[in-house]
Parts: sequence; structure tokens; C-alpha cells
Amino acid sequence: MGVIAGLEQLTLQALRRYLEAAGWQHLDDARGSSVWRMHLADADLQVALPMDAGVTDYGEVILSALKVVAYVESRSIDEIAADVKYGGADIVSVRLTPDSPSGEAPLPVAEVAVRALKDLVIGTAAGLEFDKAILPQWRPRATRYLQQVRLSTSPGSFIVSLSLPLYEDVKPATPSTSDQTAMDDTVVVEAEPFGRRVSARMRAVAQSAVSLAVQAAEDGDLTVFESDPMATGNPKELTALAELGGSRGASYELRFSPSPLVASEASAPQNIRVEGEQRQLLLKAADLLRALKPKSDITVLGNVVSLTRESLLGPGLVVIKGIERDGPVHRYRALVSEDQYREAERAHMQWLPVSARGNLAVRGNFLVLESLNWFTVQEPLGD
Amino acid sequence: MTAFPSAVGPVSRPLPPQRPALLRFRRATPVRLVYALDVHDHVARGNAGLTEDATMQGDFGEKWLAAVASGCGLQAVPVNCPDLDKADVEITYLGELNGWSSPSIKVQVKTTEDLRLPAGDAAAFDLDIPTYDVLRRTNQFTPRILVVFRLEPGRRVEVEEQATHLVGRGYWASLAGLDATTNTSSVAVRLPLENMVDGTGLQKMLEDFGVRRSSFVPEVSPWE
Repeated sequence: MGVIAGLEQLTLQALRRYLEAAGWQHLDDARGSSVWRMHLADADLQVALPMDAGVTDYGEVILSALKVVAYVESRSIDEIAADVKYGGADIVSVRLTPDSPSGEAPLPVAEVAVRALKDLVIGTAAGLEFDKAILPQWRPRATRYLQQVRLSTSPGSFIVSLSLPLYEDVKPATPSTSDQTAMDDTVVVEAEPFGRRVSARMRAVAQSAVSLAVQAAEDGDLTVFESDPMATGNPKELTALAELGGSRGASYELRFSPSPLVASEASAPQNIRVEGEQRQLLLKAADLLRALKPKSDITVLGNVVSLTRESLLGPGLVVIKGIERDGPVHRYRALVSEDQYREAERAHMQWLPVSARGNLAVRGNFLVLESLNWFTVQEPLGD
Repeated sequence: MTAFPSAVGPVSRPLPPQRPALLRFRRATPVRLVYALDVHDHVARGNAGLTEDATMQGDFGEKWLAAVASGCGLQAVPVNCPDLDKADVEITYLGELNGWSSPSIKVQVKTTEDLRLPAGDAAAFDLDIPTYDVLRRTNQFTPRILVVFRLEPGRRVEVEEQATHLVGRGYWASLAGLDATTNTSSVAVRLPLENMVDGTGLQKMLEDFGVRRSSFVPEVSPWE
């Protein structure tokens, strides 16, 4: 059931706070009604709240009020109500279309969707916490935040929604006898609340994941997901996005509905569709990212796809797209000498394969060949 | 079942004088009534036990009120749960009325051929106890008003070449704050004769009892 069923739980205080924070102008409180106005395009819209929460038609009045707010913000009444109820929350919803009546889903489908949503929250929150493609097992901040996230369902066909509170419930790390901050303590105030960062990253990752899946389907190259997993999704996020659809091959829609209580670049609601075949590619991409492990003395054979250095001469960084033994194609970074850089340039211009040998390390989100033993260009056979 | 009335020829009757108030009943505007009544719909709304005549008559009163309100530039919308709400029509003025924006009221409509008109300035109507108890409440955001249409036996609508007449007269009253009753069946309520269901009456209804309501907006479909 959506939040509409629980409109009577929304307090007048929470509603008034929301209207004020969302930019509504309070006109007055008179003869039993509290009236708020907003100018939209060429119309003045009005929201009327009761001054007494004990009126018998309280729910009906609140519903009328939320309809106007929903119209102004292009969001659903459920989304507005959840935002009000949690004192500011971004709403992320997934719409499934299982073969069942609207508002219902087979239990296995619902179970997979709920688990995937949980993993998506963990993967995204932990992705913000750690600058790594492979997340550690211990993710304290992400686990803490997960406790605040609320789940609800609604018909249409089957919609599962997460309310992501904008602000964390932050408890002090150590108990103190005083509420005051010590002189030498540093209080870190984030420019953007954590909940907004989580939903914004979720939206960005979903967008880029779909885009990269389209690209990978066209090029047959999954390594595009390795270019910047911090931005394009870690394995946990990609797996969650792949699993969200429930039954195999089914497409689904994701909807991001940010609260207007915190301004940000992506402030308008957005729907993103994920097709069945894209889900399969996301699963493969997640497996590819998970295969990143350090090894010693490996040989990579591939092509130079990128070169960078800070001056016309000297050493530089090359990226080789290739394989190690019979493994999958990856992108490997290597710091090469000036001579090797010259060779790499030639190989890149003529699209000649190269071979590089060294120790494989995982640095952040990248595979790096260190302690390079050799770097050679494989010349074409003579005619 | 009452047959659809046919035109009975030219009727000589003085038309209401021009009202200087904000809301005017437009004399020359023909009132078009829709008689497409769905009796099954009434049964589904819980009017079981009422005769078909009674449900048709009740619907006639609601349409009468809606026609008058619409003719005066007001919005008249059927209420979603009339039996629970004890209200049939919500009337709203979509504009400013004496500094109040979008005043609105809910109206419970009754029709009768037996409205008592004793000497004095008020008519008397026997209202059922459940409705009386709801209408006398003071803890509702949107106030309730009782409207009673006095009908002429056998006459409902008279259609002329230039006008259509609704035969009868409507009166209204607010019962908010009245005392509870020990009656078990009905209670006689007073309807001031000056409170007529016309442009002036509806304006007074909204001015004295209307509450400001939220704007009417289209539904948002987030997944479209």
C-alpha cells in the first residue's frame, strides 16, 4: 500500500515545515484554515490546511493539499507524503510488471526486488564511503544508513519504493559528558547531506550503467565498465541493477524523485528504463569487475588504447586493452619509460599489438602493471 | 416511476430581478438538465430500501442545486462518499469572494413535497437523526449546509421556448452547533425563508460558512 492510506499520520507541523521549506508562501491562518500560496507560470496555486488536526475530514483535506503540491513538483502524492513524513527524503521507486494483478507480485519476484534494492542502497552508500571498486566487508556508515531507509509498495503494476532520508541519524562515536564540542575537535559538515549523495549517485550510476550497456552491446566490449567504476558503478551496484527486474529477461523502470528541501543539480524527477538484455550485460560487467585481483609476473597482450604524459618527452602512462593468458579482456595501466612510450605511440598509431610483463596490482579502481620487465611491440610479419 | 414531464405551454411567471451581487443568476441562460439517472448506481451507494421514485427525486434535487450553482459561476462537484459524508455536492467559488480565495462548502440535498410553511419566517423540515447529527457537527473542516427543495406534486420541470423552469423552491440552513436530540426518528429543522437557493443565497452561504480550499489541479502520473 502507498502512503496515501496513511495521510492522517502526517502532522500539521510536518506539513507546514515542508511547505515553508519547499518555497510556499504562508498567506494567513483564519477561520479554521491555514492558506499557503505559490505562483506557478501564470497561475497562483493555493494549499489549504486545517488549523485543527482533529477535524473529521482531516485526511480528505490533506489529500487535496498534497494533490496541489504534487502537481507543482511533478511528483506523485505518495512521494510527497513520504517526503513530508520523514522530514525530507528522496524517493527511489522501481516499477515491475509481473504477470499478476496490479498491486501484487509473485513472492519470489518481490523477494528478489527487495533484496536487490537493499544491495543497491548498500552498494551506493558504501561506494561513497570507500574509493574502491571492490567494497570491503565492513561498511559501517552504509549499514547504519540502511536502518533509516524505509520501503513501501503500491499498485501500478507493482511498485516498490524506498524513502531515503536526506539526513543521517548521526550518533557521537564516543560518549561524552558534555554536549559541547571540544576546542580541538573538528566537526565535518558535508556540503550535501548523505542521503542526497546516495540517491544522486544511484541515479548517476543507473544512467551510466544503461548507457554503457548500450555501448557494450554495440561494441561487444564490456571493459567500458572498467574505465571508472567509481562513477559508473561498483560490482554490488551493477548486480543490484541487474537483479531488480525480478524474473529473467523482464525490463523494469526506475524512478528518482528528489526532495525539493535540498537543492541540487538533478532536482527534477527522472525515470530510467532498464531492458532485459541490458540487465544481462550488467551482470557480466559486475563479474568482470569482481575478477580484479593482484598477481605477480603476468604477461598482457593487447592494444594501446590511451597514452598520457605531462610533457613532450619523458615517461608516461599507457592503457593496454588486452588479455592475460586466457582471461577476459581488461584495461591495464602501466607506467612506461620514454623509449617505451615512443613505442607505445607507434603501436597505437599503427594499431599493432603490444606485450607487457610485470606484476599486476589493483590500485583503487584500476588494474596496474608494476615493475615492468618488458614492453614490446609485436611487429607484423613481412610479406 | 414519474414520467419525464412534457412542456405544458407558455407559463406566465415573473423572472427574478437582476441581482447586483457578485454572483448573479442568469435569467436568459437556459438550464439544461441531464436526466440520465442510473438507478443501479444509487443502489450501489447504499440507498437500498429507498424506492426508485425516491432515488430519482433525490438525484433531481442534486442536479437542481448543481444547475443553479453552475449558472451562477460556481463549481459544483459530486462528493465521493455521500452516505458517509452526509453531503451530496461540494460547491466552490473559483475566485476571490470578499478577500477569500476559493471558498467552499458541502451541501446535503433533500427534496420533499411536504415542506411545512407555517406562518412566520421559516419553513420546517423533518430531517432523519443520522443526517442531523452529522450536519450539526462543528469539527469538520468543510462546513455542511442543508438544502431542501420544496417540490410541487406531479410537477418537476417545465420547458418553454425561451426557458426551462424547475418547479419549486429551495431553502438552506446551517445546523452547525445545534443541540443533540433525544428523538429517535427525525427532528424538525428550521429553514429561514430568506435563505433561498439562488445567486444571492449561494453567495451568502459561501460568505458566511465557506472555508478556503486547495486549488483544483490535474492528477500527476509519475510513470507516464
